[in-house]
This record gives sequence, C-alpha cells and structure tokens, in this order.
Amino acid sequence: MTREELEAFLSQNPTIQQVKSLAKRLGLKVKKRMKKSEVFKLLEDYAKSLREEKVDQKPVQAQTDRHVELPQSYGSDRLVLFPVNPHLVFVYWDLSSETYSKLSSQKEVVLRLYDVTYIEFDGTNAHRIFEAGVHLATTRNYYFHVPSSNADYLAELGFKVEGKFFPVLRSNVVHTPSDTPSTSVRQRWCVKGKRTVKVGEPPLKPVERIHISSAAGSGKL
Amino acid sequence: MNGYFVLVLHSHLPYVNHPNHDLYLEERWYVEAVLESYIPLLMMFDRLQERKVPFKITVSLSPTLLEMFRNTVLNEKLKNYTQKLVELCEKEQERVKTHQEKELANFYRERFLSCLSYLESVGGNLAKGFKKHAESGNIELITCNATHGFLPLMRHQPFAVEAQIAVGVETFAQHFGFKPKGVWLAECGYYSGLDEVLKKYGLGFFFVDSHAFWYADERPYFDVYRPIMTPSGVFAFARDPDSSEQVWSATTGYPGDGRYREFYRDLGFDGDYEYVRPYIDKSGVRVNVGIKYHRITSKETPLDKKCLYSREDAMTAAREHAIDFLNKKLAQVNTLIETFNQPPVIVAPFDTELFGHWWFEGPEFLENFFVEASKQKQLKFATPSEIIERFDSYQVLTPADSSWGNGGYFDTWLNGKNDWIQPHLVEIRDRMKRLAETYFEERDPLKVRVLNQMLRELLLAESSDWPFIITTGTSVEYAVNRIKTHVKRFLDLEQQLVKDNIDGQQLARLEQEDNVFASIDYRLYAGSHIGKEG
Repeated sequence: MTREELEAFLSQNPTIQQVKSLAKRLGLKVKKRMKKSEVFKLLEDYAKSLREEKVDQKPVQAQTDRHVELPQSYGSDRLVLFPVNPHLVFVYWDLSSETYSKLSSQKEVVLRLYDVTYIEFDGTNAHRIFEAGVHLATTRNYYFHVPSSNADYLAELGFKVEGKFFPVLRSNVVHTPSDTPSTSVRQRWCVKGKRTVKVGEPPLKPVERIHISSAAGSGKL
Repeated sequence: MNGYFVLVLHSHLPYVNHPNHDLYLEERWYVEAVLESYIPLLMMFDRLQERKVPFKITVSLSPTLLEMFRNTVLNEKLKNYTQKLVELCEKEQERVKTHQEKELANFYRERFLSCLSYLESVGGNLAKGFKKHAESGNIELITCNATHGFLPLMRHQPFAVEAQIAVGVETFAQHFGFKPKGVWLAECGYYSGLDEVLKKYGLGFFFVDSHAFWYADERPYFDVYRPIMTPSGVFAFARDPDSSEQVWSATTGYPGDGRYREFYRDLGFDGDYEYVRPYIDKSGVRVNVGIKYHRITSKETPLDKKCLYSREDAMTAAREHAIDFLNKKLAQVNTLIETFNQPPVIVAPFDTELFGHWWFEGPEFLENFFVEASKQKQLKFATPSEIIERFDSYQVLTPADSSWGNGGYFDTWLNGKNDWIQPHLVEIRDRMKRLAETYFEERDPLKVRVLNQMLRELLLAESSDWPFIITTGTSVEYAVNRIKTHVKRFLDLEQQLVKDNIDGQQLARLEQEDNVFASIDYRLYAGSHIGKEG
C-alpha cells in the first residue's frame, strides 16, 4: 500500500474493525484493547514512514463510460418483492408520476406485507399483516423482518383513510427459504427401471448396480 | 470400495475486456487466474495422465470465462505481459542478494516460460487443454449459467432465468462441440422449480450447499452423501461440509501452514518504485506481479518479518497435507459406510482459483492427493455422471432455496449496499422481453444487431460478481461502473432502435468491447417462443 492510499483510507473515516484489520495486514502490532484513535495513530505513523510516490492518476476508466447516470425512475408502476433469507424480504417500488401524485396527496402512505402461506389471498384473509409508514419523497424500498421462514408473502403499497387501507400497487408473491429440517416423515424413492416412485423406506437391495472390479477392500456390500 | 469422492472445481471470472487499452487493471484478474491457477492445474492434469495416475475431476467453466479464453486480443495481452514478467525475473536474478532468492527468481522465470509454452501448445485457447482431459475421461466438463447471474433473485422473471441457462448451454456447446450434462449454478443459487428449467435445457445435474438437503421438503435419508433426484428428474449433489472446512478454513485449513507462500508479499508492492514501474499498472498504481519471495512463516508474523520461501519445504507441506486429507477422507467414508450400510458419495466443490492463486501450492496438493490415493482401494474417484449410473435408487426431494454465500441464502447479492441494482435489472429485462416479442420477425440486419447487443449488455449487467464486489468492498468503483455502463448502453440502444436512429459506429464499438456470445439471438427472450431449441 502506498502512502497516498493509506492516507486516503484514513481520511474516509473507516470503522475500528477496518482500521484494525488493515493494521494487522500491514504487520503492525495491534493489541486487542486498543482504541480506534490509537490504531489510527499507528497507521498514520506507518504512513509517514513510507516514501512518497508519484502516481500520475487513478486507473483510467475510459472504457466503462465515466460518470454514467441512470434514470431515477422508469415510471413503471411496479412493486417488486424479493426473499433475502428465511427471515428477511426486500421490496422496492417504481412509480409513474400519476401514481406518485395520487399517493403523495394522501396523509398516510402505507406499505403492507401479508403472510399468504397456503392461501388464495383475497385482500382480507392473510395470516399476518406487517405495516410500515412510508415517506414517499425519501423512500423507495424497504426491508421487512419476517417471523416465519418457508412461508409466502406479498406486499401492497397504498394509503390509509380513517384507518381503512386502500391498496394501489400489489407485488409478486415470494417464498422465504426454509431454515429447519422438514417435519415430514414421508420418503419417496425412485428405483431405476421402474416407472413409479416408491413411498416409504429406502429399497436396500439391490443398491449397487454394477460390480466394481477394484472393490477388494470393501467386503461390506 | 467404501465410498466415492467427487471433486468439483468451479472456474469463473466476470467478463472483463477493454480491447482499446493496454492491459487494464481488472484484466489482471484474468492474467493472475491463468498464470497461477488454470495453467498450473492443466499442467498438473498432464503430469497425472503421463504417470497414469487415475484421477477424476469435475470442472465447470463459466461461459464468460470460455469467452475470455477465446478472446485473442486479451490473450495477446496476457502473452505480452508474461513475457515482461520473464524479463523482470531476469533482472531479479541480478538484483537479489541471497542464493535462496536467486533460486526463486529462476524458479519464477522458468514457471512463466512454461506458461508461455503451454499457451502456445493450445493455440492460446485454454479450453483446448480442458477438452483434451475431458476426451480422455478424467475430467467431466460442465457449464454454468451465462454470465453467472444469481438466479434466485430473478425467480419472478422466469424468462430471465431461462435466458441465463439457455445461453450457458449454447455457449458451452459452441466451445466444446458437445452439450454439457450438468451445470454449476452461480454461487450454488437454487430455488425450488429451477430444476424444471434445467431439465428443459437437457441438464441432468447441479450442485447445492449442504443445507439445501438438510432443510429440504423431506429429510435426506443419506444426509448429503448421495445425490437426490428432484421431482422433475434432475439430480442434485450437495457439498460435504467437512471437506471444505479441512481445505478452506481460515483458521485450521491447510493453506495457512507457515511453509506455504505468503500471498501479501509481492514484488509489485515491495520493489523500488521506479524499478517495478514498467511492470505494474500503467497509471502507476502498484499491483501484484506474482513474484513473491516469502512464506507465511506464521500467522502472527508481521508482513515485514516474513521469512524467505523455500519451494522444497512448501512441496513437503503439500505432500503431508495431501496424505492427511486422504486419511481424513478414508476415515470419513469408513464411518459413513458403517452408518448407512451403503457407500457414501463425498462431494467437495471449490473455486478453481483457490488452487494456485490464493493457495499457491494448491495444484501440487491435489496432485499428491491423487498420487497417494492411487495406492489404496477404499476411496474411489468418480464424476457426477458416473455416480448417477452407479446407484439403483435415489431419494426424491426438493432441495431448499439456498446458496453457498455468506449466511447460506441471498444476502450477499441483495443488501443495503447493492439493492439499487434491482430496479434497473428488473426494468431492462421487461423491456428486453417486450422488444423481443415486438421485433420477433425483424429482418433488418442492423436492427437485429442492435437487439442482440442489447441482450449482451443485459446479460453482462446481471453478473453476480458486481453485487458481490460491492458487498465485499474490493473494487467497488469498477463494479458500480460496469453495471451502470451496461444498463446505460442497453437504454441508449433501445432509444436508437425505437426511434429508428441507429448509430452504426457506436454499435460497432459496443460489439467490439462487449463481445460475448457472438451468435446470441435476442428472440430467446420472447416469452411465447422461448425454448424452442431447448
């Protein structure tokens, strides 16, 4: 690492973990109890010990067009939901200007997440409803922590008037991953050459279909 | 015979191609992987074959990597740079003081020279080297989805998933002349139902992380030690947690041994600035050049106190570790066969770049492992296709949605740092689909080229590498730029297409820079027609 790089790193106000891990990588003596300022000092001293090097410029970014600006919105009126892990889902929205003005004229804009596991959702029959108030001008997405893994969710963006919720956009349904072994005791087995799948204990004979000539050491089959 | 061992090496790099520049900083990812991992591994396969040592390895080669193997401009840069490294080694032989360093400089010189002659022997295209061993039956080559897009996050746009799979199968077939039997799903990203898409494209097996079996819809009778069949008839192999831990673990894994080469001491950083200047990045930023004189010594040893590397000691360590690993595998299969009364299948998948790039002696470790294993008969090597033939019954399961990333799910590719990507990807995929349908019968060659290039830009934007890099914080600026660039190029081309105002020069430039999947057909994105060739 050059002196400039190190100084640039320090000027970005890195976290204590970042400074510590860098100091360790550089082979500096970092003690467990050290405060951030102490590690900082260590790195600053180290930086001073390095020769100044002339670096012409940052690596050129010519091919990847520089300073590319992407649209802020596509006006697509979309509410898209993603599972992240068994207990977290992510939802974002992209609004048309009509929908935006319709929603922003409301006092209470609300994002809802429904647990719709094993049901056909009719707008009222969700197992659970999670709700978050939304400040449209500053928020475009949201993460919901969800209690049930291996469950189906869908989201709606809308508004509330006198406690009653009016949906404006509805998302796709997502399934959160499972994080526990199945409680099912069923077992299905596919046996080669048979057209049916056998349900129950594993068919133990025959298992190894072909004889392996080098199976000398085994004797167990 | 008490058990099977399936070694899987997953090889992937995102497509990095900057043909109008000298060796680009990020093109060094390719250079490093080729010189440190791919060629040393291929040469190791050659040695095993020459010595008639039996070995079986499953190698997945991502379509973007295959396209880089074929990229003559990139490979010319690789060759020129390697020649410069030979020159640097020669200077080093004069510069260094001790006998040990002189020997090492010579070692590197010969190593780079042998890389150059290997490249020449395969006409500059490493796919040839892999194909040779596939033909002799020691290696089973499999594909990966097109640009290594993380499929669980595309689930709500099934046409996007299909395009990733279809292009992955097609690109593989173009490079090798035969279709892949199996697939490595990027980051082991799986969701229930994905198996049906694989089936549709003729893929017979894939890999998942251990917990995909543990948390499956029914309990896996053989734990992770026998592939299962999904309801659509595709086989899934699950990672053995012990093998990964033994090799990879940051604390107890083999690569941490003090005799192995220290990754973070490199001439590119240690050398006098003016002296190394011609060999580092053009801008003057110091980078690794791959000439390293030190060994890990111990984890506690600070970088500037590391001792000199001894190739001989490192080779001894690689041999010791190979024997230790073999003994652990034997103990494992002997225990498992007691438990199950059936031979277990141990699946050990790794990133190829672990061997050689991150763990310099990794290829020799594997070589010794196969040599030692040839002296016994309890553990047998097999490819997934062979395993599927070996057994007569398979449990039918739906693996759990999962990945092999941090935490085991999708967090690495979707979190507060990189979630801004999703709205753009979702949007351009939908637009691509609509345009593919609208222009399905298009005959104007210029418009067809625009549409094909749009699909290339879309696929390149989907690489899981970009959100991964943003999460881990390594080359963030480059990754952010790549996503934005590809999305922007897509949107520009779309504008030109619908306004019938196509800039032929710009199109030609994009076709030269983002030149993946030469024979791609945008029509595969059209919903009602998709998969006709499947």
